[in-house]
Amino acid sequence: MSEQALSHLKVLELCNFVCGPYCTKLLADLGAEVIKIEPPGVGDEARRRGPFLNDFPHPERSGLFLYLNTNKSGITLDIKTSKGRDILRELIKQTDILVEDNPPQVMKELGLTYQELKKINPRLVMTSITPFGQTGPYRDYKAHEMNLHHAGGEGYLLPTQSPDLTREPVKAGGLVGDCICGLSSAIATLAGAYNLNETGVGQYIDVSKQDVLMTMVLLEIAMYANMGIVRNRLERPLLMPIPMECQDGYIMISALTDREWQDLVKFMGNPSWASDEMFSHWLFRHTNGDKINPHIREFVKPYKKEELFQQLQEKTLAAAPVNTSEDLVHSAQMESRGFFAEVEHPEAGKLRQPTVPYKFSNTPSKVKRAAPLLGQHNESVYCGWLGYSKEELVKLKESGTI
Amino acid sequence: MPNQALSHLKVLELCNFVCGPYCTKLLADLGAEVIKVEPPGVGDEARQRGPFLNDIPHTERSGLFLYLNTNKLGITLDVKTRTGQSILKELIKQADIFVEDNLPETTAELGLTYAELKKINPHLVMTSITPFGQIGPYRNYKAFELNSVHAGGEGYMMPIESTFPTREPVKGGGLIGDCMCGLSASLATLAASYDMKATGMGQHVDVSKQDVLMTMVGLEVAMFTYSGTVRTRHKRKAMLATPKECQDGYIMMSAFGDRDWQVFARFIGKDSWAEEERLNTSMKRWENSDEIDQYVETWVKKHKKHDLFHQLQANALAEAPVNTSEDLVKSPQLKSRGFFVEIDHPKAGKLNYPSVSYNLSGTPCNTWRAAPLLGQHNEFVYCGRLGYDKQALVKMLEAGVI
Repeated sequence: MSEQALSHLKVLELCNFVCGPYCTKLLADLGAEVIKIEPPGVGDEARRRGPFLNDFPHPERSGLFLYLNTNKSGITLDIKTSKGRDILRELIKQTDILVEDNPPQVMKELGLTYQELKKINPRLVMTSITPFGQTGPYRDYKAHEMNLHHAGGEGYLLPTQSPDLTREPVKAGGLVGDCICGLSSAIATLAGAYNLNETGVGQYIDVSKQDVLMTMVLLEIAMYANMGIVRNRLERPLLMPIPMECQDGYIMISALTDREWQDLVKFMGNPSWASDEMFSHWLFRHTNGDKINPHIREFVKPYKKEELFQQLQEKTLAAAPVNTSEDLVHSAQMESRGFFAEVEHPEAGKLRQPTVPYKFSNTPSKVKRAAPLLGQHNESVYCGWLGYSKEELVKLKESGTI
Repeated sequence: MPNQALSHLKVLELCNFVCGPYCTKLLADLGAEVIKVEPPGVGDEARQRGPFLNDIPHTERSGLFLYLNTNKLGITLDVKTRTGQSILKELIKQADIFVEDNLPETTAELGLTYAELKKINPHLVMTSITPFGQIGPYRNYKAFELNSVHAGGEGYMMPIESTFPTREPVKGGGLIGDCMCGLSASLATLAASYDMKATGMGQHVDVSKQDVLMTMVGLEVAMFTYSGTVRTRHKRKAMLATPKECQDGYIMMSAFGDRDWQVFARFIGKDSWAEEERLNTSMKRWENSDEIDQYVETWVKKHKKHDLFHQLQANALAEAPVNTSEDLVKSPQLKSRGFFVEIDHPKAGKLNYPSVSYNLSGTPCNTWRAAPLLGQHNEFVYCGRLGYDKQALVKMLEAGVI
């Protein structure tokens, strides 16, 4: 049995910022050997983005970079030079997977297309992650996470159930759009690797971030494609579509089925308003949501969110508090699952980081090491993998190639 | 070479609604043979949910069900009966992967724990997807997508950059939370299968939806663990943080970095801004974001979103229109990528479906079968795979087991 599920997989990452690095992080956390290639001197853009430890900017202390690059080895290499590209090709010969996120035009200019690379490694699975994919009129267009979120159509639906119809669309919190694209890329890559193991033949995987986001909004798109209806963020009179405010925060309650509705009414002490006939069927309750919601708002007010959550769950009602980061870090459930792990990093010290959302019974995922310092594994990769001598390493460093 | 990446993988699905079915849909779309097990008579809950074709409710015409179950085989089986459980075990003996989404206590009552199942199939990969995972104090708690999103902490960040800090949190549009969990579960399942093919040993994969959503908000959670700061959805000083309203919709613009800023300033007719010292770093621009945003808001009003999108992209600026479902279905980019596929279905007819967000060069996802009718493949699976004769099938049908 392998120590970790993907222990035998060798991955080379030529990516920047969030999406590509998140894709290979998922593979690294499952045991794959991931070598991250960064431009010499500056490194990955995420190193310059906060949050920084104690708000003190430092390229080795960016929370964003540290989280996205756990369990990877890091080397520097300037692939804009021909020497750099020669070295990259040597690395590609020894790898199973290459994940890259450059515009198609750039890869072509650098002579690093899949057509070229498969000549030197026919087993290579190469995954390219770009905003709009490798084909079509927008293939060389640029986009950041915030642009793509709206290009993918999700933003148009947000904030859902907005009482203010005139407000502009928003996007989901954090960099969730890029994370979803990284996840989808990881699945496609792993499917490619699985097939490689069976057939010995690699292939090229073209991921479009816009497409990824569209596969998530499913219903709204299907409704237009098949019925010509454009759904938007307008308020509809639904039952409890948004969180209700308690004493110390918000709670999200749902009572979708008749059984759940009856249990909720009982929990609230069988108030007389609830026996009205217009609330007797789930469809009526949904369309009369605006008549029910004020009563529930009133009911939850005196409660504390965690206490109400526990009591509703005891009645097997699906409810959850709207958790803040603080709630999550202190959560008994998280504690019990060992979701946060402490990682030691030479510059940032001991950090607590989220791990993976899945537990494997035989090949557990572990945090083996923190994100690499810029060029930390140059010697082990260039000398160890490729057989360069230390003198050659010094020369490469002096010429700025690594 | 098999014609699809996962052609040799046999998957059994005992899941309901969105998350689990989305997980196995991703595998089915990559070529795995997925058998979906539904309760006789009623079937999957998604069949009861809209949008329905032409708004007429019908269990075989739910857009939600049709999208989530493409490329699967469908059988009916009552796993609450003894006979049902023993038939399920026969199917499990022949499967590589078993994906289920019951609460741990239910799985135990049904005698379908991994500890039991590995006795009959040691190479089985069993993936359990539950709101809070298999361990910890909340393991038997219930949650729907809208609860999970808030439990995972994402809701607390939304709507991001809100000008009304007093408004309640919201969640992402559609059922995106469940889709993210399905994606993560799919990745973990694939990693375990990869290991199973290498070692011959199966294992149990325990996916917690709350954990999945937390790995996406990485930063906010990390900020609390690093520095004790709880980030919220309140408006912060930031340039171009929300979409701007054009003549015919919204556009999401960005001008990160000095190069992009200078090009952007000239493009919007503010040449002086490109030169001015008070705006020459991103920090300074953030400080003056009110002034910049105000000007941009007035400026964009004269333009159309798609014109601006193409013109700004021609200047290598990352921009995207806020697309509605209509924009997406009509997009030349998506047409060119062949993103929508037409699939015929006996009850719902020919419909357009979003396909996959990745193109695999060697093993394209190009075979599309519509979602199964309730029990459509009973004969194929029970007689073909398990060797029951037709009389036995009739008896099982009469007894309500299938």
